[in-house]
Amino acid sequence: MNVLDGFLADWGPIPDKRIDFLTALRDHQPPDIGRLYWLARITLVTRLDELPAFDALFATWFHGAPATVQRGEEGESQAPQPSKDGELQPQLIAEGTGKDASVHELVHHRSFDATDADLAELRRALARHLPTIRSRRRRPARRGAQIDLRRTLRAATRSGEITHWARRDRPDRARPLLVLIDVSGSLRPQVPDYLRFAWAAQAETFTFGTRLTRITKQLRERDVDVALANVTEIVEDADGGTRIGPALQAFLDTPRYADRARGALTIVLSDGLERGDPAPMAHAVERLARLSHRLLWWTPLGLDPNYRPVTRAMAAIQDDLDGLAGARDLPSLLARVQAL
Amino acid sequence: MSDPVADLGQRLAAEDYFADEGLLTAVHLALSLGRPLALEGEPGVGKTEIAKVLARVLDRELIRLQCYEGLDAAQALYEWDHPKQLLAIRAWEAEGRPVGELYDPEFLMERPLLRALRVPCVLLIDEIDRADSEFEAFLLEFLSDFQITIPEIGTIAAAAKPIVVMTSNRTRELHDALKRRCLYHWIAFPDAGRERAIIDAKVPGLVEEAAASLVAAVGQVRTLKLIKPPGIAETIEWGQAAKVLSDEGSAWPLALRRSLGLLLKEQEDTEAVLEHAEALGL
Repeated sequence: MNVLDGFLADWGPIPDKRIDFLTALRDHQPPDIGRLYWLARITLVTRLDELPAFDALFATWFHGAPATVQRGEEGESQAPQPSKDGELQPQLIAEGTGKDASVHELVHHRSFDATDADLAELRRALARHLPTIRSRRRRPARRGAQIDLRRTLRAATRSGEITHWARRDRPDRARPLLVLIDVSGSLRPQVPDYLRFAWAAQAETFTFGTRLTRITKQLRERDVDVALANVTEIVEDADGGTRIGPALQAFLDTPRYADRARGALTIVLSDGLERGDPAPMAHAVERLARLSHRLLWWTPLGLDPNYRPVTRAMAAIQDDLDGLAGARDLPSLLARVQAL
Repeated sequence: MSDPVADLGQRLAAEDYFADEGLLTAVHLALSLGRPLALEGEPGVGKTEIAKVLARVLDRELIRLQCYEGLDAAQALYEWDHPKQLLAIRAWEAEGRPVGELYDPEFLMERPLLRALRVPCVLLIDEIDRADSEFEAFLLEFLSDFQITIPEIGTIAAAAKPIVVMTSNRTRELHDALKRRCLYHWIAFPDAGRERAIIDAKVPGLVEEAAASLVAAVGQVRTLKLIKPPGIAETIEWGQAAKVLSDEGSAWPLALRRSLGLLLKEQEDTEAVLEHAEALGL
């Protein structure tokens, strides 16, 4: 029993699951280690992602565990392959030319400071183009699937006759919007406009560079400049390096954060230039995509017509994205929103 | 003492469902702990089928709730029959009787989940990932206590606990609160021996040699990086189609090759497989 206690302590299941497992053991003495494995796995594991960790833990506590079932390698997209004659396509090596995002170009292209008119237009566009979802609440409607008994009867008490069915329907409401903004050094010129965009949308917003910061509250201000000043105060990792994978993982590991992505339109504003190992980033994006209704990735590099997502990290996540496009400043963000 | 899991395996096998030890343990636990069973896996590995077979084996009614986007409580739990209520009012008026109870169970239209509480059954909640995440909230009370609260009437509890099988293709992640109430099992593709048993049962009369090469080929096809790797359902269809062709006089390898369209549903996949045709023995 000591082994079992140690194993359970290490896995740390929630009480319900622990009770399930122990009940199962009590009612059903496993004849061999294989059966014990299945009893434990079915009662204690709740997610496919947990399986590798579970298998490893089980193997350390119990010897002779069965070889675990192989499953398809998920989310492991391959790095770009050289063509058949072994040569890389010249244009494949380039992550865009970076020309449109270069400082030099930005000086020329520098969009004018955001005016109230720009922001007002962006807000209108957001209201019009963001995807909707049918509300769970019912409202009186001209036509609808359901009969509104109360209104029908109230109308009937006036005339004494039921002359028509009053109806109810489920009106559309806006889908939740989640914005994740990369504030690393490489995006320094774009970050202020990205923040203005998040302010205009009044979306659930996080920034990430080397760490993750929730800025939704800071953006909840009438004045956009006050909001941006608030954000500057609490975001400590701006203009630093990027660790996209670990930052996104931190987002997903906090249940109250990850819940905000559920069924939401998620927009990641980042150049996707992951310095480290691309595998954690690919893993995190895959999970984010499964949580979200749609996952969009907008990058300043994407404005370059020659841009191809060929860095290892971007190539790995490409299949999980519902859209990859360019956005650098308010006009380009406006264009993206209108294209939704 | 006989092994209840092995017994269950034999009863399922008698209905032509060949489950591995993991799935059998999962089903056994779902039955003995009275917990809902959440099944995930690639399309076509038999997630829905296990519920149908269970209903036959346990001799219970199968109630199926197919999930889709926009599914709501009115379609899943219950709905008030308003036209009937209004007609009743008119009838009462006409007969000069006082107006009776409008929110009476008589006016309740039962939908799958409510029905599942009233008759002993196997309840299949199919492709839950297609429903919106808000819908999962409706299931919470149902799955933990097997009861539904109707504001106008009160709480309706299950006469006999339904056996619940919930399937998901994992296009969307399910809420932890929902999963906590369930036993979770990931159904993997079957190994060659089990797939062979399935083929033998579902495609009777298939020549030994053909069945062997078919199962081997499917196993290898799944290791290629395809858009849609074939499930068990596709394997069976492929076997049936190949048998039809060979009964009409085609040679075996040719029959398999010609009916490849039933195994693979994407043109790109077919091309990829034909490239490896030699290695697959087609």
